[in-house]
Amino acid sequence: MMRAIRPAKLIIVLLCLIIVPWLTLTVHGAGIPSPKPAFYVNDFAGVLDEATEQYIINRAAALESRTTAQLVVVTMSDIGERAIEEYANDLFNKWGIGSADKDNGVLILLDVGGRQSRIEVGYGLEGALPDGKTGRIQDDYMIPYFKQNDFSQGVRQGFNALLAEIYTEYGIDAASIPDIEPAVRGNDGFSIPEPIIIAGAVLIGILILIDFKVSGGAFTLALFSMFFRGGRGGGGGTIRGGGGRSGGGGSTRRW
Amino acid sequence: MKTGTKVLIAVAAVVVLLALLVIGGYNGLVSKNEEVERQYSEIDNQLQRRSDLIPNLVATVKQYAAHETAVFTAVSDARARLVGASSRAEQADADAELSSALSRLLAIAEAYPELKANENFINLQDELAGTENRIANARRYYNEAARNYNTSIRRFPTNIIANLFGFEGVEYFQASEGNKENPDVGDLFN
Repeated sequence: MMRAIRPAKLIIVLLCLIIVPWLTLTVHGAGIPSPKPAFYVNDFAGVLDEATEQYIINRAAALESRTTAQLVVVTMSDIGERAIEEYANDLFNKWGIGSADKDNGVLILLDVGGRQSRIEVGYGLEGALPDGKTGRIQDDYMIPYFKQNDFSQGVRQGFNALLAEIYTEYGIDAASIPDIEPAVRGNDGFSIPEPIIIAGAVLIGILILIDFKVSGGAFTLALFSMFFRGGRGGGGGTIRGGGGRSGGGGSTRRW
Repeated sequence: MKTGTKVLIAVAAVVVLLALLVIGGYNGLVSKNEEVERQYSEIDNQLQRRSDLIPNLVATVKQYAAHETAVFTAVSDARARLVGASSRAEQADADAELSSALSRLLAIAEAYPELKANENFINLQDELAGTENRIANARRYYNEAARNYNTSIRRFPTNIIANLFGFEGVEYFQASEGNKENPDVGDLFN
């Protein structure tokens, strides 16, 4: 009986000896967070307002369903010691932004603490978004807002500009899609003068009052419910990256 | 069944297992080596792409700063060295030299506001930065693949297979210490 067991034991020992050296783990992309369930917006730095987040989530979801491309926003308050280029590339590839067969992802990364931003482009969109163009998009639509600490507007306008470029690449005119805003250039230091804002607020207040007097607030409530319906749009399930990769295309800006 | 037969079966099983492991180990080494070469060709592509951008960039800078000849010479020398490099280590050195010459070329713009604001220059600057970033990433992935492959060659039991079939280690793509102008913390671990 004892004799019969020995060869079996020998095999087990040999197996262990041979297999154990193969079991090595490579730790990859350390310090990269996991995406949030909504995937398209990951405001880890907490600098974006709710309306902007919802706007982006809804438009990015529509973009993916029409083209399979994924346009993702990430804000960080601190990316540690590493260069933003390396961090963006690791995050992009770890999350797999864009589809695996088309590599059609784009990442907008904000390092709020380091006052720098990067647009990282997947292999498949390098033709539509060459490095120079991503630099221009940041210069025209993002950095002017970031300089005024208006991260929501900067991200939103940069997102709009990239969205239009990606749609164009897929032969769709973004202007023909009703709920997409055309990107608005930022200009350094310019903001709407206060009297106009006050006048606008008063005007809206008067309109709401008239609405409640005349039609029982039907318009106001309709607008309100529309806003909140939009707000729930992105809540359905967890979205994931499609396995897209990037080799480091894109551009970096500091402000 | 006799004890002898059982031992025989066990020995046969071990032999078959070993044969499978040798085949598996060999194939593993081949695909790791393939991966190293694939990553290397990506570095090569990007180095080429950068070389192609340089004449355009130099021409643009010359429009505004024609007399900064020392920098132009440094760039073209480094570019020529890169083309003539025969080993990966030499290539890495020439690449580091070219990067530093190019950063000096770009720094010229600080003294020439018109150049700095030139749209073509900004565009080329972004393309160049993008290419250098791709080179950095490709280098990172190459060195990772090379380390992975080199480790397999030295690690038991694949080292036996590597010796048996004559697999040799590959060079890392790394500039020698003197040429490293911006030591990157991540590179230290490669």
